[in-house]
Amino acid sequence: MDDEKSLIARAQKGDQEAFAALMEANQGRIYNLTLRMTGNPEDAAELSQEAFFNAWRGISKFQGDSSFATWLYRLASNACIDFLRKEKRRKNISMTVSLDDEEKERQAELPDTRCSPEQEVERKELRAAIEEGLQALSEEHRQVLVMREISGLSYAEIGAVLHLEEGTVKSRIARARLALRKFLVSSGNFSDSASSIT
Amino acid sequence: MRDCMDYIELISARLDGGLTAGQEAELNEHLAACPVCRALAEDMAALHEEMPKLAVEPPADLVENVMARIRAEAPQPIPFPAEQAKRTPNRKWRAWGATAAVLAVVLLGAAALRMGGLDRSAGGAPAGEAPMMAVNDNEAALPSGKAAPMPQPSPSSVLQEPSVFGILPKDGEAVPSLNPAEMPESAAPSDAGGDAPQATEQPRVDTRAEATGREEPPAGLDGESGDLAGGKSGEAPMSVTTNLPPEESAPADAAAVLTVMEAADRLYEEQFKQTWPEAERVDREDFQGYVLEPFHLIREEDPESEWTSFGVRFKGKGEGGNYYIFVLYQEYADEQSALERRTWELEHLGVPVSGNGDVLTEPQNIDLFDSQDAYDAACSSFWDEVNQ
Repeated sequence: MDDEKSLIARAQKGDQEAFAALMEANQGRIYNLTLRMTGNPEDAAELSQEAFFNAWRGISKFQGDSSFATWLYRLASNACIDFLRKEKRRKNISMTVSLDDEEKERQAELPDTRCSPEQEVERKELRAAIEEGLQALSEEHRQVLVMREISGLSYAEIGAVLHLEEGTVKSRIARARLALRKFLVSSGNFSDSASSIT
Repeated sequence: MRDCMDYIELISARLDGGLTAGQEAELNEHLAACPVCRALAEDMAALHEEMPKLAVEPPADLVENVMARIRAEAPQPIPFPAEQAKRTPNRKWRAWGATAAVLAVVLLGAAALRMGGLDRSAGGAPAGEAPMMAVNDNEAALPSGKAAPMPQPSPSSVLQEPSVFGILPKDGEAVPSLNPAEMPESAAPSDAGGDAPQATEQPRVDTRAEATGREEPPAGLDGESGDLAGGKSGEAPMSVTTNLPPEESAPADAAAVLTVMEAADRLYEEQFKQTWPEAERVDREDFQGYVLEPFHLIREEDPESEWTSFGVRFKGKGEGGNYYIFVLYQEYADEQSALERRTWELEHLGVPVSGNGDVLTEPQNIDLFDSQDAYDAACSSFWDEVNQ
């Protein structure tokens, strides 16, 4: 993308307007990432602005060996993870999941007996349930799912952002989808005929 | 022969394209025979279809907010490699020069007081330094170039002369001759060309950016990072004395000693207010500090569950009498323990009694350090400092 390259070059020399143009082009994907990672618009806006500001401060370091979007994603995504870790540590000793720990995630999911369709649990709209389900996932799963499904990044691009092999990305996404589906079964949005697999 | 778990990944990958013909055939064959996987595939497809619709437009002012910060903060990006800044923040500070810092303080202070404003670039600092030096009191980590709200200890006597970082003028109790201390308070609302929200937001952003202005994972919003170890090791012990010329420091010393509650107030403002804006200030004989979260259910929808509360409370003075030590604690109770409260001390924080200098934070997360030794060293450093 020559246009992007020249914008980056100008921004690296201090051209603020060039940087503004780069932000315009990327703000949608960055904001949607932070929104789905944090679950609330205020934190999302704050973290997005943080990520962009950090990008500005560090843009002389951008080498161009990854795409600019990938670099931005990494900044934003790391900021989210750090933020969530800190929030989790401060606010919740029995928080559902920790990073890299699927086992805890399974334990933390709502038990089927509590919220099975037979009881008077309110049936939510699927999209709202998905939003809730995303928040219930581990940050690791949430991250890849948001990047794939909302930002539309390919496995290769996700791998570039997170420094993962494509195969790892593929299996992580599969497990993330499974976890999300399991949440939706627990919350009554999906029937549980397939729960024997998990 | 695969079992169903193996097919999950194929089912998932198929949603994203990229199955070989052979994989496609194998999957279809299995799905034809397995209603459980079929149902799962259907559910996953539904998720795959719905999730992109969650995308929303970013707020209209997002870009402009960042541009405003950029314009106000510095004319250009950090001129030197971020690694250098990260690893040796104190060197950077010193390189700028104690003299220059004192000079800037003296030059800016009186003017700032009178005009009630502050030209951030007047300090003559390198790009990105001026605002940290001149503006910020809340983000006391600035000299070390790291992010608030967990400022890192910054040894070096240079740190002391910016009492900028130490004093929050209390109502009626302002320290008039401590110009740098006044600057942040008065600067915020009247920053030339800026508006209050932007100005007050800015210091917070500055410091985070300072720590995270690099490609690799940022230090995080709380500034906890290997920088603590990196910045700390090998540095001289922190001195609490000020380097200001006598006419600057004398009034400072006289008025600057904090009471326990004043220290608690500073701690709350710097470290906790952002996360817990509605904390309760408590000044009792048996509890001095802030209750950040009163006892409450952790899970609202499952009452037979757990309660927790958070707070930061005064614990005692450091052995040298120079620091007030506070502890961030968490209380917990559940039905099974018959609501008997347990308390964990999450981390200790040290607030300089003199009002000069950074709030020190006990290192907590060993993952943020390069090694066990680095973590241990950082812990020792903290305790050595607060007990000085």
